[in-house]
Amino acid sequence: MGLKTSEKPLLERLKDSEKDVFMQKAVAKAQDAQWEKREGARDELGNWEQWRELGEQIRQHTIAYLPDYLEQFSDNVAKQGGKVFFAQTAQEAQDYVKRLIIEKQIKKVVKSKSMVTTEVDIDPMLLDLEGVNVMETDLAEFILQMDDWDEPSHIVFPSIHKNREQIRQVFEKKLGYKGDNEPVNLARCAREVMRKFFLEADMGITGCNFAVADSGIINLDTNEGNADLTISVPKTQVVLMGMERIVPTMKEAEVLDNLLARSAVGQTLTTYVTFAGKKAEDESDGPEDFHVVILDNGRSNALGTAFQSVLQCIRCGSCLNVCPVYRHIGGHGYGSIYPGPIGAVLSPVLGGYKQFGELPYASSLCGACTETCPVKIPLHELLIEHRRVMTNELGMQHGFDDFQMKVIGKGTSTPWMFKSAMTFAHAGSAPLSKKKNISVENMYDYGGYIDKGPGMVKGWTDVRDLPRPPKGSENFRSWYKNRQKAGDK
Amino acid sequence: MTELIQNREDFLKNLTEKLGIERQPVESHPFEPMNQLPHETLSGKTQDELLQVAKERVKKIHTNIVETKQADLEGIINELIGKWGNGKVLLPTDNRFKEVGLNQFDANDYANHSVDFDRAFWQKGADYREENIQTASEANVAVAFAEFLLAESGSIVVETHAGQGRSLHFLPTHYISIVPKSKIVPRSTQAADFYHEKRAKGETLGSAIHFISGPSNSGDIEMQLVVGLHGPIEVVYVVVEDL
Repeated sequence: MGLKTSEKPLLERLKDSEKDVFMQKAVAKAQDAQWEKREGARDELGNWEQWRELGEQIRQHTIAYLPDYLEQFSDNVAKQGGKVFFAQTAQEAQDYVKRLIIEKQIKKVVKSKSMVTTEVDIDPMLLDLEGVNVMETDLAEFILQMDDWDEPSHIVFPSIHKNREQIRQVFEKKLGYKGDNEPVNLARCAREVMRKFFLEADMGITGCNFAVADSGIINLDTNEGNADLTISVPKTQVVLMGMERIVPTMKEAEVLDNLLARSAVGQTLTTYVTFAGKKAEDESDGPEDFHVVILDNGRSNALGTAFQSVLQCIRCGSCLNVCPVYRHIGGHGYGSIYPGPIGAVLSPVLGGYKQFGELPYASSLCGACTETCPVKIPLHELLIEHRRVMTNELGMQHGFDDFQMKVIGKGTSTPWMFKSAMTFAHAGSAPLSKKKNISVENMYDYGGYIDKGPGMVKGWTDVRDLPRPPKGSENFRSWYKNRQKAGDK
Repeated sequence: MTELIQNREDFLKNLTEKLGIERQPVESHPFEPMNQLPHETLSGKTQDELLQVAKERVKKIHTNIVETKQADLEGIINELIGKWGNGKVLLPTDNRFKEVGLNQFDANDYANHSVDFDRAFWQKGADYREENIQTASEANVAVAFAEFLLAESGSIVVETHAGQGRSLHFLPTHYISIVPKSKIVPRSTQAADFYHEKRAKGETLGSAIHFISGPSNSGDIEMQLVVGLHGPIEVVYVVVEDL
């Protein structure tokens, strides 16, 4: 799957999302529930703005000195006998894990939830290896795996687009589950299946919430306990981390753990906040063989540019949870494993404008994302910046849109053309306009509404009616001129 | 895969070029926090007040706090284990059991104290890996000491050592944490500070430190909370007043 989750163009994906009524309801329900929990948790903490500033400061500091902290971290992992592999690309990261599995003759791999492992396509690689079995152990990802590796649709709640009955059917078909669709019973079934696999696993693959530079350990925040089993039972552990997910010491990790839990799920802390590395000599469980793969894969494109702040992200998903666009199109609509506002900013940085250039336009620029971000990433400003870069610096063509924009640009900057356009607009729009009653949605009536507009207007009329432009003599400029004349008298 | 660190130089060179900086030792740019909120939050409270905060919090994370005196500790724990149906009880090899008078859980003395359940100890040393994990997976209950109780989040803090592995806290079905009241601190900040300072002093830390807030749970199915997933299904903190 990698970064890109769909080959369909954006508009086609949006049509698919539009049809998926359950998904829309589920996302809306999740957003509303999370709103209450998140804001409640932040209020309870108090001084939220100052906490955000501290979070931002920690992240900015770390990114500004990223090479130094990565050097310190890797030295400290090595001091404990762990291994660190710096991967420039997803392919390098994947190849490293593959070599390791073949070399160590690994048979059973347990994974705990990690966006980066999806980004580098670890699962298809594992599935292709003969004699290797893999199990996703986060409940949501286990459900997706059982449903023939359906793709995740949310950073924090990957299976948000499935209901309990769909899950029951999947469990019945794949696991021989005979029970009802109560979440607790489905979860107990999953526990049993996964527990057995855990005890036989010889490799664990985890992500990384934060790597702690001064101690060479990994900080993981989870609720289910699967990550803790993944770092306890198998003899070999592989950590896949985005290169920016690092902090100077445990003290800064602790601040971010607090911001993350409150922002992601409205908890004070996640049930398990774990700091761990390679097992010590005299300890009996934990990884004897400990590997950290540090991934760039396009992240460094952001360094030294206006997009540097996107690397501050701590993957809490709260920008998804407040986004009106995400609410309507869901995670799959974005076509990237990083959906929502953060995905619309990050995906073009990682995968380029050719693949993800449409995403910065999948936004109403309402700014709710920027306001909720616990580390103060100016998300909506970065969306505008992407648009600016694409149009001004790269001169990217957008077919008919560009043509229309050029006509509009020419028209509005040439007085006689502008005036004749204003006169023409009313008459010219007559064939498109229908007579309709005035409502809250359509307050201005100049002789009907356009509900199926052409070209760029279609984007508007697909979701609401456009009032027909007024007659030349009734528009604001004419009206103002006439008022002035009346005043003169 | 013989080298411990691979591809580092080229990787970091790219980053320094993009950032337009030179590499320097981290000591030259220590992080100075702009505010002291982590330390100010819930500061200045007495142990009783912190216990109150913790008691309120644990109601929200499906966990019970039982308060007791040292003299009644054994009875309370045996009662809890009985309520959960006895069976196999996993214990760390930990001198503190003896120190608080729980001789029935002392690895050297337990045989002299009869109880209604089976006791198994986390064996010290790498050779016992499989045996320890197997025992933990069969255990109905684990009993262990908390290093801290974080009042704000209702979390206990545990650190691995030879006699207490990682999976001791995650594989058993039920879990009892013994918390000396003196070890209740305002929040995760104090625990992070403690381990930070311990490391700075050059002391050895366990390879894993866990902050655990009640039983495992998940909201992955229709966001309906399910308590008990991979980790323990039920958790009780026993706060010992005179410790």
